[in-house]
Amino acid sequence: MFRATPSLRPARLAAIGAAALLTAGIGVATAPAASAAPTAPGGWARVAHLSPDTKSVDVQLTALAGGAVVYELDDVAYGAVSPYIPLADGTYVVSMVPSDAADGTQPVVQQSIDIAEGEPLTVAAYGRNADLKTTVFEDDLSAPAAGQARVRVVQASTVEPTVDVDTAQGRPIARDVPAGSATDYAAVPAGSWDLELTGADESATSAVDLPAGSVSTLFVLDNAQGALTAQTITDSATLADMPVGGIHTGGGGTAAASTSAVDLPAGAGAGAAALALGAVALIAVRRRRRGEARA
Amino acid sequence: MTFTRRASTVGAVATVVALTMAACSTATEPEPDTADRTSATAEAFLDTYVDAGRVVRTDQGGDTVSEGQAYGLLLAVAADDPSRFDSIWDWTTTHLQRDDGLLAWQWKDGAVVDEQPASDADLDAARALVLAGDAFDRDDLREQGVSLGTAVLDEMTTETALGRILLPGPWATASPHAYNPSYASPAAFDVLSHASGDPRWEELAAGSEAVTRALMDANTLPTNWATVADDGAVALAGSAGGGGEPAYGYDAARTTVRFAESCRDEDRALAARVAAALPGGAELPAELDAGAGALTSDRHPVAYAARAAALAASGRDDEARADLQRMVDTAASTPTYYGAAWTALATAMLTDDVLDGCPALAGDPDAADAPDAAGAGATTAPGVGAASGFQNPVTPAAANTAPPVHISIPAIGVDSDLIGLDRGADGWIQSPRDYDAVGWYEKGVLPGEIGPAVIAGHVDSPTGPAVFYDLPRLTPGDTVSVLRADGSTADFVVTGLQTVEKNSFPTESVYAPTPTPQLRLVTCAGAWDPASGHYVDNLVVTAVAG
Repeated sequence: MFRATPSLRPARLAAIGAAALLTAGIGVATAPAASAAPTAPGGWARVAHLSPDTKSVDVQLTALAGGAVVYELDDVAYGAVSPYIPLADGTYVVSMVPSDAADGTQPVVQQSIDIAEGEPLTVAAYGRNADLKTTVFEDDLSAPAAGQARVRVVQASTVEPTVDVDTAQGRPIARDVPAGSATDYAAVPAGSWDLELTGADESATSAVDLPAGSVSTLFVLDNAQGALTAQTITDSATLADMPVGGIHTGGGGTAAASTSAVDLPAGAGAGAAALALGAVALIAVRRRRRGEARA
Repeated sequence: MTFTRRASTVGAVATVVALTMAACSTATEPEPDTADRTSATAEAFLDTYVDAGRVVRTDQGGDTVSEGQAYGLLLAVAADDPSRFDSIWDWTTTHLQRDDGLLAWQWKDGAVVDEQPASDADLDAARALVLAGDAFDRDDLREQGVSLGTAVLDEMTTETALGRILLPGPWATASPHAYNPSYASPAAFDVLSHASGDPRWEELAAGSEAVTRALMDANTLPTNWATVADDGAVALAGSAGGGGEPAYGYDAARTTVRFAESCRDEDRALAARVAAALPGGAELPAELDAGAGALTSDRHPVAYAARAAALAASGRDDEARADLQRMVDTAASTPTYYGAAWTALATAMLTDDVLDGCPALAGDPDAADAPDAAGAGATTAPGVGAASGFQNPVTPAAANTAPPVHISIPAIGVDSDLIGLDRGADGWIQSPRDYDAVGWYEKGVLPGEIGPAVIAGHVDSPTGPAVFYDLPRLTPGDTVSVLRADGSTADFVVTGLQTVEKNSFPTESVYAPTPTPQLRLVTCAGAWDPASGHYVDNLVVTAVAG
């Protein structure tokens, strides 16, 4: 008779799964383990390197539950903001290590984050290297009103303690934004804007494109000359011109109870001018509504 | 190295307070000395995993094993914490100790579930009792340690042609004996030999060295399990029962640590031999086959502890310390019972003499610091990774405005050019005129750019199946590939299917903003309404950038 021995320990759990995935740069999405999952996780996080005098870093996200490294990014340079990473609810540790560091070098940054569905986050390292800080911004990816865009400012300049952001036409976007902080999102008419960044000593302009349906973050940064600069990152987007209803995509030929009715694609057979197309579409709407009433 | 905590979270973001391998006080002091570090890592384990004297395997079902109680006892000694030692030992004697003095190995939900002892646990506990007797000036503990050790000698050792060996349990008395090289603890043998004067401890030390050497002559990496016959024949084994493939895993890693802390040169020489057999590099797989091939991509503190032990025994101190740092980092980022225990034990065994071994890395103030990784949610290390000056920020990739021209969905044989779709005057997206065409909604999102791009095709024509007839057969994990006019390809992975009524189509949720490139593949579904000439429902397949 053989017993289960103590060493048939079913689970030396929670080792760290070493991610074998490497990417050439931040613009190249690593296939995270999560994306291969059959159901999409509901949480999102991304990572930003905003420290002007810190070298490129390798970023790793480790799940505390289960211990797997769920995401790795190599060579994240100053100013880079990673794509959003889909994550299941839970706690993760974000670590950043200098890309050229020897094995065993301590992380420049380690930050724990709690991920929950509907609460996207941006984890940022900012400040000068000698005074490096990390912070976690709560993001709001929800849809702007029709024809509008939303934008906020993350102030990561180390040369200006506070910055104003206005459109070139004088419309204020944000006032006295302190370093290391994010403003709320402001709704603006969709379009291209020239934004003025103004600090106590430095100022700059930045051309931004804010399409309808988009949500963006303007990151205020330093350049190599110690002057202000900025760049815009798309946080989320939806359809610029939001439709109503579904899409008629069937002719009924395989329907079980088909009566060989014809589900004409809009304008089909008309070969037709715009006016005719509009008329057909209107008729289709009325037929549909009658059908609805009976159903 | 100094860690400065500058956590700052915005809004209501909760930061986690999780196990770290360091008390905050040591983490913020420059160069904590060896004793502080040993004590801090031991206390961290005790604070997290000990509940009223019971060491709880929180990540392994909340049970308790004699091994864990023994680790708790050793670490209470390392932490110089007599009251904690008493509570752990009290719980152990009350709940696990058998009439013969040995410890039942597993307890769960209020009762012992397996009364068999495991010799590694009893041996570690006996060592801890003797050390506690000396450290806390408690003859009662010392006597109980000697008694427990004697029970181990009586019931769980046997003589073979290679000498006396430690059986994994009393059940292994038949030759060839099941043998676990990681159960033998040369330092424990010496502690108990000195305390008891029983000559069998010396025999056990010599026999364990001989058997381990014989096994490592056969295969340099010690395996989790082996067999030893009375005639001295040794063989690798895949498990205690003999089945499976021999492997170097969570058990075997301990062999190297235990032999590296031995005060005997021949034991340390065996530990040193492991260094040459293990793979190098920062990412050390936690489990290897007998030929050192990776069995997993998992990493674990005990694996780094073992390689640190092997390197330290080889005199490669700097490399050993790098592995100790990896051990600490891994334990901090991934708290587990076993990982925390061995992080603390290896710190005590390899860098400190508090457990009365001969630490291979003793006396070096620069040994691994413990980060307080999760203590306040964040740590930074100013000065690490400093550039020579300010840098220009990298320019984000410009938005790609190339339209999509072709779609491939291999799982259902779709391979079609894409046409543009507009909205009709009714606000609905118009379907392709050609039943076999696939279209994309041009006033929405470009497939491959951030947001939910809409692609539609017919499920059937008036006479038969059309291009998206098999869309309902897609399952999560299937791939969708969209070729764009600039020659680039956007790849997606299906994550879900849903059927929605067309007339109440939930655009707010189906077309909700997304922070990554996604697709919504749309066709018809549901009942055919002959009155309207339309299907009632749409099928929407969600795919995400993959």
